[in-house]
Amino acid sequence: MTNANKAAAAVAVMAAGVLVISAAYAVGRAGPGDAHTAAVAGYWLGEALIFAAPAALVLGRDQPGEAPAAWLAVALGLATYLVKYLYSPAGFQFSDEFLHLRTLAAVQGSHHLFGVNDALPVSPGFPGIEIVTGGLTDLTGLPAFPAGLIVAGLAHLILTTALYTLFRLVGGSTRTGLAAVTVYATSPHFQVFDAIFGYQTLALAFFALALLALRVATRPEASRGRAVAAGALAALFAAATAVTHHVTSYILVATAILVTAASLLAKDARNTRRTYLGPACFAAGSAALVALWTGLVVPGTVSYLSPAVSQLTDGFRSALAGHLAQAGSTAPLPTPAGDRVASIAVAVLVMVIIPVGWRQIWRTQRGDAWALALGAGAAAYYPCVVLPFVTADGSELAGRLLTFAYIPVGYTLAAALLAGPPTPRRRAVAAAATAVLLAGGITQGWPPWWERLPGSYVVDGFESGVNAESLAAADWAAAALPPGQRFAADYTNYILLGTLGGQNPVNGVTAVFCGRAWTLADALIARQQAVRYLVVDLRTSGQRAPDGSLFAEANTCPSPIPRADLTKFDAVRGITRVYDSGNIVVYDLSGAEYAP
Amino acid sequence: MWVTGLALACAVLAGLVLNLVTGLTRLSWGTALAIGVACAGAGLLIARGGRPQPAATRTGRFRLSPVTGGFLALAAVLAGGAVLLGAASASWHRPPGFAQLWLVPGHGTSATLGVRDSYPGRHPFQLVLSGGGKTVGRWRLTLADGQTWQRTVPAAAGGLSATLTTPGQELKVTS
Repeated sequence: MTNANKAAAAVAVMAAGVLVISAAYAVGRAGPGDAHTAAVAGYWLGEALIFAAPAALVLGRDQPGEAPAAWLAVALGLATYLVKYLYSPAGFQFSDEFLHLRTLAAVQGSHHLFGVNDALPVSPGFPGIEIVTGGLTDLTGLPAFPAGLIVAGLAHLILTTALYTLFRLVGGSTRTGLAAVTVYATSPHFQVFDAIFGYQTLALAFFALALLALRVATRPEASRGRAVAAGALAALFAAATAVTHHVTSYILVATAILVTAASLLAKDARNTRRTYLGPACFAAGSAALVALWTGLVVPGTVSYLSPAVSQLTDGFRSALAGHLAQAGSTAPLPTPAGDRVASIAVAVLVMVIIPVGWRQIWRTQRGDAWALALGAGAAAYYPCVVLPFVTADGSELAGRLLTFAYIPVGYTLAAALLAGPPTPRRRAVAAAATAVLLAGGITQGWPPWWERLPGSYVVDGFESGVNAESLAAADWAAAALPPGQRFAADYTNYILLGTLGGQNPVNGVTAVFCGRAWTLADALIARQQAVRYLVVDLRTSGQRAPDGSLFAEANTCPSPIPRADLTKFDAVRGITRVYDSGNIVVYDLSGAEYAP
Repeated sequence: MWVTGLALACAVLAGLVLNLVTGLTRLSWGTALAIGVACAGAGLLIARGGRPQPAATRTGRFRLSPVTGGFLALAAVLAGGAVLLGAASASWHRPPGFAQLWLVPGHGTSATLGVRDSYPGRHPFQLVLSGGGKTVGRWRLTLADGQTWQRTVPAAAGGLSATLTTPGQELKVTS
């Protein structure tokens, strides 16, 4: 079989994997039943097929050819994007997609940027994905959903292929390039969260292209003209990153600094001043752009990110003093044992293999600044593993950071797994490691275990908490009420009212939902937060929230909430019941003496 | 990859400029696209220095063998099947229906009373509006899935209440 035939066969196997996952999702939409267990197994089989194909080519006797390896990287991006698309093929379903949909609606409504988004105030300040999607809808007449899918899909493909090319250039072989990008694709958020209609999705594509262009510009063998052109491209992509997503742009600057530092350490006769001056200038320029954008256009970014930063620093400080993070007041549903085992296994495996990769990089590539930088960057994996133990939201923070940490991890693990000649034993070890990486990536990633297959309704279960009745309530609010009304609501209705409903859901009011009676304290909370409407979803009294909390913020409410706590508002004088759809009731507090 | 990435990045930066100059309208995007295409074409011509493309690159570099083409065609069929199955299955399983009832105070002495049906097919409803201890209005409605019924009703001194009844469900609102 020729190299091209092998690659084409691998693409067909990946497509078969996508079809199996699509069938599993179709069965999942039928809800819990006898076939559900088989559907879950089908999902895992589909994932295994998608990743087995590039892994087999990487671990084969012959090195994949240039074109087959590149096309396989494209196929990997396409297959994983289809997995995300097939989860919700009829419309946006992920919470963050709704958040950006509101920013897009504001841009299309006013024909200008930097409007208001009460649900994610920082989003209008980083309007990259909304600009492109809005432009596409304006030019083609496409609705927002297909236009958003196209933009996010292109970004996902670009991220995959740009990373493959970067790894290929740094590693010097298609085998390393394909291995590293396959490992990266097993990272927890690659398949879904980093492919949704969200600002980070597009920024990641620019981030990868900026790094790739910088790598091309700083190669000692690049001609002056090529270096200048590549440098200009790197600057352009850095600018696009800076206006598209905050954290991605900060990590771009940090990466450039790391490459600069590595280039000072790299010992190679071919290295020139360009090797370290290029990244240094890029880091300085990008930092200036990011600072200007944050300072002049989106100063709110600081207050948006500072709670997470404080949580991190406080968490680490407490951990050093011997105190670990406390669990929330309400416990989440127990994670299945298989998920727990896979998550632990992948963490242990990656932590063990990284030093092997370091050794391999030091032995074979100590003259290459980029290889050294990628190796050094892999160290970021260790604090990510510790995060869930030191802060309350550590798991979520770690998941977000792993999107970036897995880039150097992917390269370092590839260097370790491909060290030495590909003997049958080495191949078996590498294949087993890939299986663990994939399983752990899925169990640590998104969607969480209770909604791995779409279809079943789970109260306040993120994507599974969004159903027709919740969407209808948000649509009603958008049509019947003035925009920007202050609402108190549970998590799902908070997101939907703040996005599709065009309203302003507020924090700090969850206490009013708990307790048998409407107390003076509840009245004061409602007045302080100027709450005009209160949404009660009676389903929150029937199910426990899978992650332990029914609300968007930390709270002390029990889960599920006793039904009497939720129906108490009917008996309060001055509070009227303006909307009812059976499960969802909206109360108007404006008639109450204490309300605005 | 480079071309697509460049197009996306230029679109983002062009959007920022359009926002300052004309706003993001279809006309402004069309103009920006025309200028972008013209600039890209001119740039390409300048980069090539007016030389024709070498014959070797004009005649395609990729020659697919029948086996490779067969595998790729199979992949396309499988992926297409996955997309079709996903799109079809999204509408296979409809959850049980529901109705929406609302009574929203308007400006001054009126309120908006509305019903929306989200049950499959046509569905009967009985709607009763009460105020000041007596029935103010009574309606028998038959609505189709997605159909909305809405009225402006006069406000009452002691407030209004409306009850929507349908087999298996009773909804209530007040003002």
